Order: sequence, then C-alpha cells, then structure tokens
Amino acid sequence: MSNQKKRNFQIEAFKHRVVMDPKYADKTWKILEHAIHEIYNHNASGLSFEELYRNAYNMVLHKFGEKLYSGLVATMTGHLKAIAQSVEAAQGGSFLEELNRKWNDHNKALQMIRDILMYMDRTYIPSTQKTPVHELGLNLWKENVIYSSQIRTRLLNTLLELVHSERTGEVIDRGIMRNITKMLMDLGPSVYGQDFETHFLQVSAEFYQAESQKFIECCDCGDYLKKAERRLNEEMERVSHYLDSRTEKKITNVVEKEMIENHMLRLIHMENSGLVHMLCDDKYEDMSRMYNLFRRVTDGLSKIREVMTSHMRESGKQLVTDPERLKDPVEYVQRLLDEKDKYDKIINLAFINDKSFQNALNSSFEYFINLNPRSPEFISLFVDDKLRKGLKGVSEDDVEVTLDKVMMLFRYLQEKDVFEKYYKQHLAKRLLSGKTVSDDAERSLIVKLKTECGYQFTSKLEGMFTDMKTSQDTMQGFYGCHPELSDGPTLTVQVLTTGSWPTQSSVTCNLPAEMSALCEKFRSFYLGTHTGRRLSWQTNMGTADLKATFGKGQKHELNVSTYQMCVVMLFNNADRLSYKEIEQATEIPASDLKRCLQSLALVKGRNVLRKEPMGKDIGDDDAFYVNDKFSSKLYKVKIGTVVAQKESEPEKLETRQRVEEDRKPQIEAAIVRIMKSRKQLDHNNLIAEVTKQLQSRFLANPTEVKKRIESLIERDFLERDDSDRRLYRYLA
Amino acid sequence: MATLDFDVPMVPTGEPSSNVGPSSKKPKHFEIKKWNVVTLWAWDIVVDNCAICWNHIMDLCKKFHFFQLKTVLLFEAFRSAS
Repeated sequence: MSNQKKRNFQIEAFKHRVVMDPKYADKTWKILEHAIHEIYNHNASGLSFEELYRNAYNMVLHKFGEKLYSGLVATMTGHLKAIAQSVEAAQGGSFLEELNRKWNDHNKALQMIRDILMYMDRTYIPSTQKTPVHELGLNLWKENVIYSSQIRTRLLNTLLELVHSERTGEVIDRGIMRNITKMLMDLGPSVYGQDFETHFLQVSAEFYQAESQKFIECCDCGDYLKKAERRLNEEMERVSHYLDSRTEKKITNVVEKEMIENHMLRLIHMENSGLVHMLCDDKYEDMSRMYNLFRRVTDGLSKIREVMTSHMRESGKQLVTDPERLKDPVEYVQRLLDEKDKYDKIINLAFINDKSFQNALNSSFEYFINLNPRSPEFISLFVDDKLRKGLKGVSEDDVEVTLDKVMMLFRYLQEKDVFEKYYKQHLAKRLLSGKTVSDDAERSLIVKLKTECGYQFTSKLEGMFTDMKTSQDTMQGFYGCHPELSDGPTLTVQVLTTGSWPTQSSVTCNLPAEMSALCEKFRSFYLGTHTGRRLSWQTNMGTADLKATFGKGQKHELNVSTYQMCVVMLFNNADRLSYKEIEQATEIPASDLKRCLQSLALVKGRNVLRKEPMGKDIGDDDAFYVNDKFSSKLYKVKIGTVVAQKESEPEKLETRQRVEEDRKPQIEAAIVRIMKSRKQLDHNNLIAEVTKQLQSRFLANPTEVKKRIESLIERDFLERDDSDRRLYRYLA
Repeated sequence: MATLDFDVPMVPTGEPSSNVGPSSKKPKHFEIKKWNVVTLWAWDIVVDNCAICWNHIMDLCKKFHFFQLKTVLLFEAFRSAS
C-alpha cells in the first residue's frame, strides 16, 4: 500500500433554521384533546397510540409542556364533572354501582392517558414540580366526584347504612363495598380515614353501646359473652371482606370498649351466671371465652384473677374451717386435693395455663391451708391412711401420682416442721406395727420430702428405716447365739435410736417373769456388741400373741398390747384381782391401765376379763376375773386399745409445745451459722436472714428469734457492740 | 404416743354376773407365744446435752457428738483402769 494520508469525511448539519409552524401547538393539542374525549367516551379503539405518544413527545420537546399539562387538567375536569352528575342522578341502590362503574372507567382512561403522556411524566413534570399524571387523575376524581356536595354525604351514609344492615342480619353486596372502600384507599389513606373510617368507628361505638346495654339487661353472663364474641368475629370478618386491614385493630378496640370494658365488673359479678357461678359449675367454655375476651382490654385478666382468687380463698376458707369437715382428716385432705384438681383443670382448660393464674391459685391455697393450724397433722394422717391401706394394690405409677399430689399440698404449708413432727409419729406407728403397704412407697415419699426440704429435714426419718433394718439383723444374731431359746416365747425387739423417733417418756412396768428374763438375755447380747450404750424398754408399745384357755375349755389366740399382756398373765396365779392389786403388781400408769382394762373387760366380743361391778368406769375397788364364758367365732382375737384417731386437746397442745421447743435449737443454729460467716450484723438484718434460712421449715417468730439471740449472748456465742447495742459480733 | 391404732366402741357386757367360788389348782389360762417389743438405745452417760451447742446429744450435729462421746468414753475407760 502507498503511504499517502487518508482523506477524512465529515457530515455537517443543516445550515438553515427550520421554521416552526405557528399553529403547530394548537393543532397538536387538538389532536390530543380529541383523543382524551374519545378515551372517556369508550372510543379508544380507533386511536393510534404511537401517533398520540409522538405528538405529546413533540409538544414537550418544543417547550409546550405547560400547554399540554393545563389542557389535560381542563379536559379531565370537564369529564369528571359530567361523571359526577351521572352518579348523582343514580337512583337508590344503584348509586354505589354507578360510582364504582365510573371509577373503573376513570382508572382505565387514566391508565391510557398516562401511557400517552409518559414522556411528560418523565421530563417536564419532575422539572416543574407538578403532580404526576396518575396522581393528578386521582386528585381530580376526589375533588370533582367524591367531594361533590351531593355525593360525599350520600356516599358516607350509604356505606354506613349497609354496614348497619349487615349487623342486623341482612345480606348485602360485599363486593361493591370492597370496591368502594378500596377506591377510598387508592385516593389516599387519609381520604379513607377522614371520609369513612372515622365516621364508621363513631357510628359503631354508638351501635355497640346501645346493643351492649340491651344485651346486658336481658342476657346472662355466658350468653352475653357469646354475643360479644360473635360481634368481634363479625367485625374482623367484615374487615377481611371489605375494609382496609388497618381498620381491624380500631374497630375491635371499639367493640372491646363498648361491649367488654364498660361492662366488665357487671359481667363478672352477675348473679347466677357470673364468674363465681362458672367456677362453681366448671363452665370451662364460658370461662375460656371470658378469658379470651377480657385479655383484650386493660386489666381484664387481673379482674378475673381477683374474683377467682377471692372466691377460691372464701370457699377454701370454708373448707378448712367447717367444723363438720374437721372430723375426718382423710376426707378433709381429699377435699383439698379435689379442690386443687378442680382449679388446675379450670386453669388448664379455660385459662390456657396462664402463669399469673397459676400463681393466684398457689397463693390462695397457701392462704387458706394455713388458716387451719391442724392442716399439717391432717395431711400426715391422710398419708398415713394411704400408706396403711389406701394404696394397697394400687399400681406403682398411681402411688406416685397420689404422693405427688400430697407434696403439692405440703409445699403450701408454712409450718413444715409441724408436719414433720406428726409424720414422724405416724410413720413410727406404721413401722412398729408392720402396717405399711409398701416400703417403696414409704421411701418414695421420703425422697420427695428430702428434695423439697433438704437432707436435714428427713435424716431422722431415714434413721427410722435404718433402725428397722438393723433390728432385723440384730434379732437374727441374737437367736443365732441362743439356740436354746427356740422352745420358749419368741422375742422380737425393735431397737430404736433415741432422737430419731418421736419423743417418748421412758416408762417401765413390771414384766411377767419369763419375759423379764428374756429381756435380760437380749440386753446382754446387745450391749456385748454395742458398748457404752443403755437400753430403755418402751412397754407402752409392742404387741404379744397369747394362747388362751377359758373355763369351758374354749381355746383362742389373743393379740394384745404389752400392757394387756402384763395384766392377763397375772390371772395365771389369781382368780380375782382388784384394780388396786393390778396397778401395784404391774406398775402401769393409771391412765394407761384404765384404758387397758376397759379394752379387756368392756368391749363386746373381746371381753376376756369380767368386771364387778359392771359399768364403763373403773374404780380402785373394782374386781376383775377371767371371763370363763368368753366366746368368739374367730380363733384369733385381736384385743384393740381404746384410743382416739386424732389427738385429744391436751395431746395436741403437747405436740405443739414440743414443736416450739424444737424450733429453739433450729433458730440458734441458724443464728450461729449466719454470725459465723458475717462476723458482725445488725439486729434487723439478722432477724431477716434467720427468717429466710428457716423459711423452708417454719416461719420464725421475731420475738422468739430475739430471745434466742439473748440466750446466745448469755452463753458467750455472741456479744453486743459497745457503741451500738443493735450490732452483734460473733465470738469464736 | 405410738400406741396401736384401733378404734373400738366401749359397751358394758349385758350378762348378769354369777359368782363363781374359787377353785383349786386350775391350769394356766394364758401362755405367751410371741412378744414384739420396742426399746430405745442411748449413750450410757449422764450428760444429755452437748456442752458446746446445748442441743440434745442425739439431735443436731450427730457426727460431732459421736466424736465427742468417743473421747468421753475413752476417758472414762482410762480412769476406771487406773
């Protein structure tokens, strides 16, 4: 190729200015205006979108945007005024339909117009801060149609009337309602709010105020709540069908206020149908409805809780203070358990296990169970009844259920140490008499008590079981060492640890000679393997089996108490004995001896002795004989002891006093523990701390705590600060 | 009181009493077959309360009391041997 330069080509613009046709703008606008008319007159099919778009484009391009925009406004306004007139002319029920139809037409027209004028929307309008075409169309519709003086009021009234009709059971055209409310929303949330929603809410409030007044006067609580619930559901359904979703919260607030909040107390306290009635009659469905409705309003649930609590405390109080119910401890506790089951079920089924309701239940039970100071004793007696016979043959799982329920009541006790005292007494009886359905059940309960109150609470109870086991081993050892004793009476000794078992007075009566000798052999054996100990025979306990032969040769086997054994053995050597002689020979305490003799001589079918003179009282000079005429259908005869099922008043006081005495070392131990760790502490804080530490056993009495502090000071465990007498110091 | 739990109604016997004179050399009416008895064991010392915490020696702080009592018993044994 040659090295010559390349030539450049250059295209130049026209040299001549194009002369604009002076009438171009007018002609072009005429075309567009005509098109808009055709669009509104449903004749758009003949129009050429491309041509119209280009015309609008050219007008904007040639700086005629203002003419185009103002022309649009004028043309649309003209059409909308005509539309308003035709809507106003609509008769009765067709009003909304006509309005809706015109609105749909307007939207279609607006869509086409906006498409034609898209270039203006993108360029001219932003630069001049004017309203975009679509929004302009909506605004013009609002101002010329909706806010037309005849349409605005009529529209609102029509909508409200239709709502009212639906509320009174009529069927309305929900579709048209939805379309109209959607139109209002499309015009702007504030339009919907100001022109419909506000009025709707106000009219609704008036409606429900009147209706609730009518309902509350003719309905019972359950029916009223059903109606209120239905109304709420209807309003929510109405919103979902044809109102804006944001209206739901507002309209439900209205219903809640007018139908629930304003009548809450009256509903709860309605006679024969209110909350108390529901609680008594287990109306789960009604209560569930009340719960669901009331939780929608402020303080609704707390009002229910208040009334439930008040009722529970009142009925519980009656339960624990009714003299009739106190006669049978097992029945008493069973009623408490049934009451607990009842309210647990109510809270579960009606109050969806609401925690605040569970707390109300717990505080109520704690309140009324502790109103009766004998509750700890009765709960222990209930357990005793179950473990003696109530749980016999019951499956292991059911045993656990029962014991768990008892533990729930136990947890409510404020004086758990009183329960422990009685429980220990009752357990001792069961163990020593062999009357317990299941060792596993016994131990299971002790495990639960330990879990609840700690090792110290149950250590003695466990010691009781240990003693029973150890005693069996001891007896095996004893008879292993003394094979020569197998011919005589069989001895079984329960060796108990002092302090682990209920406190007993140490009384010894005179034993029959052969038993005395046997006891001495056992003592030697026992102390031979346990040095440094001493044994105290508890002749107020124990049982004996005797072979008996009566005057006409009839033979029986008697089961008697130790005291009874001592008495009847005397008659092997005497035909007649006076009360005085028996007392001197046996040295049994008078009150025990009298009861013993009553059992032997005065109980029909078990009167192995005969008394002269007859009568239930026993005098010093009364005489006793073997009852030669004794007879019984049974070979084995059990001579019981005349004892009370529950403690008598003096015994109750004694137990209570023992509880108070046992609390003193507990309080002192707590004080010493606290002071040892803190070294010094002021009076109020010390009392608070002691109370807190002992709470799982009993409520410490501040006066008693103060006394124990003084006692510890006297014994040099603590001292007072020289300058501040309310400050205590720990002494090592 | 850990007495047997048995609730029996008390009614006087309705039979008229007949006086039976004493008879000579009757066989024994009653013979003991079996006896279940209860006894309490405790430490064989006079002091019932702990000298340190003043509680009953069988009560609180059992381990401590046991240790203490072993010492006491050892001391007693030593003294009696001298």
